[in-house]
Amino acid sequence: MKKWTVLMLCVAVIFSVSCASQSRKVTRTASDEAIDLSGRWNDTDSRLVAEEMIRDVLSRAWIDDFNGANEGKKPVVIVGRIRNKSSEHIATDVFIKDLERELINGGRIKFVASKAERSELRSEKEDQQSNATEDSAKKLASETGADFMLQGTISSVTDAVEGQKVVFYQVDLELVNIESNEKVWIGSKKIKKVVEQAKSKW
Amino acid sequence: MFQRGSIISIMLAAALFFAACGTSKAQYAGVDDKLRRGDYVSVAKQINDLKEKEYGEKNRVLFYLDLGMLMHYAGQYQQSNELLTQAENAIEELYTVSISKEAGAAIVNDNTREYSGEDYEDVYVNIFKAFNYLALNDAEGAAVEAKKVHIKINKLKDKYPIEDEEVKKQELPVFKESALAYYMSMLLYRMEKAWDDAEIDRKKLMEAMSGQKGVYIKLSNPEEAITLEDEALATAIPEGKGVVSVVSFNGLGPEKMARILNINTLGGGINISSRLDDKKDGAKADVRALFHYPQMRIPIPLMPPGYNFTVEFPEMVSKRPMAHRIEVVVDGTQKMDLFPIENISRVAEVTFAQKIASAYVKTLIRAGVKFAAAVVASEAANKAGGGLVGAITRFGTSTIASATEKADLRLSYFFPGEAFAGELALDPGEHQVTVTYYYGGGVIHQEKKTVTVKEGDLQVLETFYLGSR
Repeated sequence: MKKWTVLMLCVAVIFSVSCASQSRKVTRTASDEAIDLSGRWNDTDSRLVAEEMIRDVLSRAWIDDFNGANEGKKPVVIVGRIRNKSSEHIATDVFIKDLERELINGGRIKFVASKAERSELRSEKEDQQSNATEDSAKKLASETGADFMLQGTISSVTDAVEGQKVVFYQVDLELVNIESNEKVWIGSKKIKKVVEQAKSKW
Repeated sequence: MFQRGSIISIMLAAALFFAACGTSKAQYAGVDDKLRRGDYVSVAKQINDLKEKEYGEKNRVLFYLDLGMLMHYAGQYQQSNELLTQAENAIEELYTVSISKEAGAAIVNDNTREYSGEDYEDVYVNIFKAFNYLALNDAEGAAVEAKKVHIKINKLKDKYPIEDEEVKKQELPVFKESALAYYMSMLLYRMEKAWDDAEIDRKKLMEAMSGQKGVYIKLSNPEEAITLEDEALATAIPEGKGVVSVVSFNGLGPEKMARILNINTLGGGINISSRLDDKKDGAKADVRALFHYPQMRIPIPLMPPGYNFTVEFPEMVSKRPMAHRIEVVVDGTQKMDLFPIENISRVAEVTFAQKIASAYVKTLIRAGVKFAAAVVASEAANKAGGGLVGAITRFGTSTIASATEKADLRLSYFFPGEAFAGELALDPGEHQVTVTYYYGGGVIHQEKKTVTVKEGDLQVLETFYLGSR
């Protein structure tokens, strides 16, 4: 009787497998809530790193030095290229936007549009010269030039064995004086994640 | 009582029906001729049309790999990347095995499992994604893929521990480094003028070839090692010149074939007494095989004596490429032969042999336990039903036991068999590059491309011919 029960159970398992169904559930959540699914670089990493590094850059002496040398004028900053040297495809444009937001909201600097944005704006201004009224058309060649450029890299080191990996991210940013090529600030932020994947689930 | 015996017989017949589900390869009918003609779009359409019928959810990794590679050959790099990324993600997701589904596979056979990709597929998917990114002028994306290759290969080193002493004695080769992956990252470092990093990877490429004698052998002639003279590959770009790197893929990747082992049952164990020949090309395959299935006795409590059954093991077998030599001619004058850089099929064989060897004893124990359970069920039915029911059930016992150990022969079809490479330093300007695939003295495939060389720049030109015998 016991053997019979075991056999029945085995058959039941086979049939339950073929009848398994999947369901999808969607839950709305706050955009700043930290949710880690795959363990890869995500929006939370991007936001937290941007917040922390910009807090650091805005608290350093280079701003006061610039103010002192330029009659209290706020430095004008542009975010340049952030290179992805990690082993993951990272949306660096999202990270750049996070950096820009934190820089502007800090209120201690002025900020100018990026290269691509400037190109679009110039095209609009050129269009205005022939199509807008004289008093509303914006002048050409009156842009604010940036004093400093923020550049950097995101790199990672991965150590992995079956079912477990440790990923170490390092974000390095540098603020460079565009005129003199002088580096006025260097910052680094490190993140370490342990990602475990179970060998089995029910 | 008669009723219970009938039910057991029906159940065994049902199990036999499920167990008999082997590996279908209907989706590949007629593709070889089209591949030889370079008609990748037509093959991609054939594969896509058979998505539901021949692949389904269970074989989605195979589908993404097959179509992703065909899209690459067809020059649809964005679509190829999307499909290969889906394959890669599904392989990662399927690392976690569903116990409920595995229980089914344990009773029926491995073909009922979701296909989770072989190690070599998981590695080379990133190589071809890197080529896609390069073709899309995204060197940063290509570099990400090259790094992933190194991480995955590193993981392979400890993936298949071999515990059984008999198996361990065979000292199977291990794939630890990929020369092709190092060549890719060397190219990318040179593109961004990171000369020191490029030189480090050039040296690692050389070490990968010289340090893995069992892996770096030629696909067209396995007796011959793949070697490269140190001066054959330089990191620097000569002054006043630009460099064109030609990477050419040749032949198709391997296929899986079933190796059948004969098992005799002893009281309380099994004996692997004889090895049958390969189903397709007989004893030759045994000579080529990396893993030689040790003949041994394995104790399995309660195993009844005097029965025979068979267990199938999947085995990776290389396909021979049609072309044996690849030559590059620039502007009809400057000539060079490309050097073999990676035998992709051999990497597949080596990694798969490790996997089979690591699971060899466990697979036999599992098969033995299933057989013992089937015998118990058969005897119960015999007692309950007798006569016809008993006869049907006895027939079912040995047939099911063998059928449930059918080899899982699923494998993606469109990875190439081997890679060649070579570099030419050219004057800035436009050049005609002709890549010719030869068998003996005869031309079997030719591609002509125009490249515009800039001083100090490096560009990659990829060609492929998938003709195999």
